[in-house]
Amino acid sequence: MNGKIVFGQYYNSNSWIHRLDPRVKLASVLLFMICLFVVENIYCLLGFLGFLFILIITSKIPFVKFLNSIKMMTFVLILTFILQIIFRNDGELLYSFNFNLTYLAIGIMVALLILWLLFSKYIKYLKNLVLIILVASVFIYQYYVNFGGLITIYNIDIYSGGLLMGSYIVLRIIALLLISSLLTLSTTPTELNNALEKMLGFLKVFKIKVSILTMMMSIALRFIPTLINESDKILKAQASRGCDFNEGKFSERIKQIISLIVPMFVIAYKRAYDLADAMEARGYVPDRKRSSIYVLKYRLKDYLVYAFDLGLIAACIFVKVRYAF
Amino acid sequence: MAISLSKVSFAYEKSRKTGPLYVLKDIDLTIDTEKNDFITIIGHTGSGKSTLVQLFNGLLTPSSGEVNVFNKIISSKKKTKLKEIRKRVGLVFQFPEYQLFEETVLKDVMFGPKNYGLDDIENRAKRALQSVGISEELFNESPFSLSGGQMRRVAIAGILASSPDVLIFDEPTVGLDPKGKKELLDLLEKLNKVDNKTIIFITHDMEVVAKAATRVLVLDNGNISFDGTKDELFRNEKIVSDNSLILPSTIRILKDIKEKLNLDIDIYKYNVNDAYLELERALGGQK
Repeated sequence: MNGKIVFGQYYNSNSWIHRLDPRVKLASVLLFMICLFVVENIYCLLGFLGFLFILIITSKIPFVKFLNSIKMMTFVLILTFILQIIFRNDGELLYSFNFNLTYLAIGIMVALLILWLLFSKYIKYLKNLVLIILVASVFIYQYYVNFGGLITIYNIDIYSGGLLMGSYIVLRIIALLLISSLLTLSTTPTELNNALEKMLGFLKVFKIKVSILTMMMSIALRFIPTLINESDKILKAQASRGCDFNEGKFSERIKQIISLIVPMFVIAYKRAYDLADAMEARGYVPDRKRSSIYVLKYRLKDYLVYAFDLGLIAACIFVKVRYAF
Repeated sequence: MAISLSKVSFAYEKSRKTGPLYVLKDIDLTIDTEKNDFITIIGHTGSGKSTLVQLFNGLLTPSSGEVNVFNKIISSKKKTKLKEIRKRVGLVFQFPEYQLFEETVLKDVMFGPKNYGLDDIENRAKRALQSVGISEELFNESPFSLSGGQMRRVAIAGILASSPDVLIFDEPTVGLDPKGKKELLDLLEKLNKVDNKTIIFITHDMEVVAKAATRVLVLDNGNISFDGTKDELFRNEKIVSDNSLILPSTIRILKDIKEKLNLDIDIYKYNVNDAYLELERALGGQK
């Protein structure tokens, strides 16, 4: 929480993707996502992934940045994969594992669970890896050891269909993560906001004031770092009054969180009033037509990307229709 | 010995490219609470003043080196119970009025002592409020209905209520009118002289230094470039010009008089009375 906080994960490398019109990028990402859901063919999906990697390499953004966004979803990915393998049973049977559920095994599982709950906070590095090893060892134990009061034998069957579907879904989620991080890494929040304002312009027909909505959004984005800074200050001020957010009974902790939230509300309101005054002083009238400092203008390559998008979705629909019948 | 820093450096973590950004470098410093000093810390914006005082009560942990506060050691290697340190070293931030959150003034001031598990909370809070000059009829008001100056005094009472031995103020007079400023300074001098508290005071205002300080620290780019009395400070022309300090008004006036009238006087006087006596001595029999 110290130092300057930069909001968003924009990475400046001035590649051709960075220089694309944000409207094109936003539309392309949406179309790409639709395509990902349209195709149900693993080879097409692999093709998409290959294409994505080319985009990522030409964007000149270090790959670690993308790995970070995948890392956050690791747990979900693994869980989906395992569930697919266990519960889908079409295709041919590949392996069948017999596990011996014994009283001793249940005892060990409970003991491990308690140990984990008690001591997991002391593990500093590779916490997830330790957890995976623990879970795996429980199953390996049940596979090999069958004494200690046998209750029942259960088996987990792995079918080729489950394996295929599992990897298909995992790859799809990874592709979704990659394309959305490519958008946020190569486009600043302001640019995105401007693109949204232009693209949602048609909502005027329904009497929805898009410019006000996008103004609210850009103000919200602008104030996130400021408010984080302020909360850091309040946190320290209350800590100087003996406030400890990690100690004490539940009711006391609630009280201590209130000591942070109330001042934050006061500050946020004060800032909002100040900003409103400043905007009015500069002649801001909501929903009046105004020019923008960022003028979005399509160039040749933007049109080319649009054309490519159309080709892509047409191809996807073609593949889908062709192989459906 | 109460607060001592040995070889303390502090850096904010930055990206790997630029490396750590050092705010404080190899600082050695001892503050003796037995002496009841009124210490002022001066220096440019970004010279590390606020970071330094946050080390004194464990809000920040040094990147390297050790901070010893009342025989409790804060370092990056060891975890210490910070609560006891913070009870003895109170810190008042800039714009402390933003930390108010309770329904009534009294309850808000009681928040600190309650957290530290002190006894006789209510009386402590009342005494603290009275010492900052908040009258009794305001005790049950909402703190948000007070004026800015009153809010600030309530917030300061919130720190005083847990009766710390050392009081740190990070530019507390910012945004106060001249009257509020004077009242606050008088309060701090009273705390220092009557209640025997050590005061550490970050300021840009040389008049405050001239009026109250018994010891001055000058921070320059993360180093302590001067540590001594105010007299030594203002007589040291190099330090004064290096840090572009403005001399207090009495010194400036005496300096002008000395140059214009070509008098042989000591210009380093810190209040009007001393300055007058010096002038009277120099002019002697002359009119």
